[in-house]
Amino acid sequence: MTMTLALPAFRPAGRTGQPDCFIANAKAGQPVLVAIHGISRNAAEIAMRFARHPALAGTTIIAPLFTKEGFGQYQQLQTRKGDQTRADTALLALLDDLAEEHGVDVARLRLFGFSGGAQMAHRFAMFHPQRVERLCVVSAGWYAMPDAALAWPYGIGDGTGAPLVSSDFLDIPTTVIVGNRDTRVDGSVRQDPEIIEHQGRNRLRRARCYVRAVEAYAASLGKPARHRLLTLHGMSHDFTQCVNEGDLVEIVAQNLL
Amino acid sequence: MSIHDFESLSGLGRTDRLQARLAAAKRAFTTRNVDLSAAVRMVRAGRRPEAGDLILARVTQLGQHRRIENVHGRRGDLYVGDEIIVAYGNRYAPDQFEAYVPEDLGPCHLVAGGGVAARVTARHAAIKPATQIEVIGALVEADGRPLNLSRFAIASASRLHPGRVIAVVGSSMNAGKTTTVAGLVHGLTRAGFKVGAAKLTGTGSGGDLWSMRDAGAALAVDFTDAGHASTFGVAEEELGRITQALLTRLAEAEADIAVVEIADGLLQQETAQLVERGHRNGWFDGFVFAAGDAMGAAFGCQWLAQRGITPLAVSGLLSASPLASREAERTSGIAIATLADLRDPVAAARIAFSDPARRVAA
Repeated sequence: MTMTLALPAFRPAGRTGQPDCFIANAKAGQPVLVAIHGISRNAAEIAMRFARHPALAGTTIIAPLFTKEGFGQYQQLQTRKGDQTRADTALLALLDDLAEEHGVDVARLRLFGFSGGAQMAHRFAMFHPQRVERLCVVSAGWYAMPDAALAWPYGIGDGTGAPLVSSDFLDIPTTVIVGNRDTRVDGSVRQDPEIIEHQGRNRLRRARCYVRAVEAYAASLGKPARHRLLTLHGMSHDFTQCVNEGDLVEIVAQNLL
Repeated sequence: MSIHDFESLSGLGRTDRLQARLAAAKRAFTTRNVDLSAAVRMVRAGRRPEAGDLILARVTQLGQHRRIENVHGRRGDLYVGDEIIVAYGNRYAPDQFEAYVPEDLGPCHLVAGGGVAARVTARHAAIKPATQIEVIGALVEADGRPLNLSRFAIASASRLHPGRVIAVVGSSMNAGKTTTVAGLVHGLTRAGFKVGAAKLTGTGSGGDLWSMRDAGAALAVDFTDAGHASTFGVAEEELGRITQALLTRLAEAEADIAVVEIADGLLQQETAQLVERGHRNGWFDGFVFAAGDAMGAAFGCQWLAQRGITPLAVSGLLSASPLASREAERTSGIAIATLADLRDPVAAARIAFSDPARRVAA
C-alpha cells in the first residue's frame, strides 16, 4: 500500500539563470536534500521517490531541472553559449530564493546526484565545500580526478598544473555508489582518452579509480579518508531499478542524514 | 461446440444446454468480468430490464455496428443470425446515438461495439441506423435474480488514492480526450513513474483501455470494472462510488500517478456532476482540458473557472493547429500542451506536478 507522504510540486524558475525544480516537504528547521538528475532529466521521479520514502519524511527535497538550453553541460559546470548560466551558480541562486520562500535552511546541503547528476554533485562539492554537509555520488559517468596535473573537467587543474579548487572537499563525508553491473559501455559513457587513461572504460571501474585517487590525495595532504565506495549488487545503470531492487533511497538516507 | 450440433446437446439438462449455447455465442467486451456459469436459465418476457443486465440476443439486421468487440479486445465481424451476449445500458453519444434501456425484453439495438443493448431514440444524421437485435432471453441466476454486471464489480473495503490524480475532461465527444490521456500516460511513464489509467464514465468499449495500456499504463480500468456497461443516467452518488473504486484499484496496484478520463463534454450531465463532486472532495489533483477548437477551450476554461478549477493545461484536437492554439491560449490564458509535449517525459512531469495557478500562459 502506498503511504501518504509528501508529494513534490513543480516550481518554475523564478527568473532567468535559475533552474525549474521539484520541491517536497519544504519546512524550516530540517535537513535539505538536493537531488540532481542525469541526462534523462528525471527530476520529478527522483523527487517523488525521495519524498515518498519514510526515511526522508523529515527532510526537505529539492530536485532542480537543468535544461541543456539554459545550463549547457551542467554535469561539468560548463556553459556552451553566452546566455547560459553555470549550473552551480544557478543552483545557488535557486536555493537562495527557496530559502526566502519557504524558510528552509540551505546553508549546508545533503547533496545527491545520479549519473550526470552525480558528475555535477561531486564537482559542485569541489567548488563549494562549505555548502555540502554530506555527499552521495551515484553511478557517475566519470569524475574530476583529484589531480592538478589534469586540467578541468578531467581533473582539478587550471591548465598550468595548479589546483582550481581547495582540498576542502576531502573533508566532506562522501559515499560513491555504483552498481556492480554498471559495466556496459554505450554511447552515453564518454570514451575520451583523458578519461580512459586515468579512470578506465566503464562506470564501475571509474568509481573505484576515483575513490582510490581521492584516498591517495587525502593521504598525501595528511587528511583522513572521508570517501567510501559502495557497490550495489546486481544493479546496472538504471535509477528506477536501483530504487526498486537495490534500496537506493534507503541507502542514500543512511548516508546523507 | 456449436449451437447447431443438436445431436451433441441431446440428453443435457437445461442449465447445461444454456451453458453450451452461451459458450457458442459471441461474448462482448462489456461482459468480460462476468462469470457466465452463474447463469442457470433465461427469462424471455414479463420482466423489465435494468442497466447492466446480461442478455443473449440475435442479430436481425446489420447497421452502424457491423462488428462486436470480444472479451479479448478483438473486433469481430457480425452476421445476421449471430447470437451475442451483451449488457443493457443507456448511450449518450452526440456523434452517434441517444439510446435508453427499454422497458421490456422486445427487439432493440446494439448501440456500441463494446456490447451495449438499448433502444435508439435519436441518431446523428451521418450515422447509419443501429444494428438491430432481438432478445432471446435475459440471463438469470439460481436465485432468480437477473445476471447483472454490478455483481462482478471490483470491491474494496478501503478507500485509497494514488499519489497524484490528473483528470482529463473535454469540450465534447471526439475532442481528443483519449489521445490526451494516452499522451500524458506515455510521457509520465517515460519520466519513470508507474502510471495507472482509468476511464470513469462513458460507454463500455475496450478501445480506450487498450490505448491507455499501449501508451504504457501499468494498469487500465474503467466503469465496466465497477459494474456498468455505460454511465449515462447513473446517479451522482454512484458516479462517486465508481470513481473511488477505480482510484482505489489503481492505488492498490501501487500506481504513482493516475490519469483518468471523464467522457463527453462538460455540458453532459454526468460529466459535470463528476467534475464538480470530484473537485469538491479532492479526488483530482489537477485537470487537463481537451478541446476540439479554440471556442471550446475558451468556454471550457471559463466553465471550470466558475467552479474554482484552473486546468494544468489545454490540449486535445485544437493543439494540432498552431493558429487555433494561439487563439485558445490568448483567450483562456492557459498554456497549450501539444501531443508532443504530453509525450515528452520532462514536459509531462512539469504539467502533472504543477500548481495550476502557475501554469497560466505567460
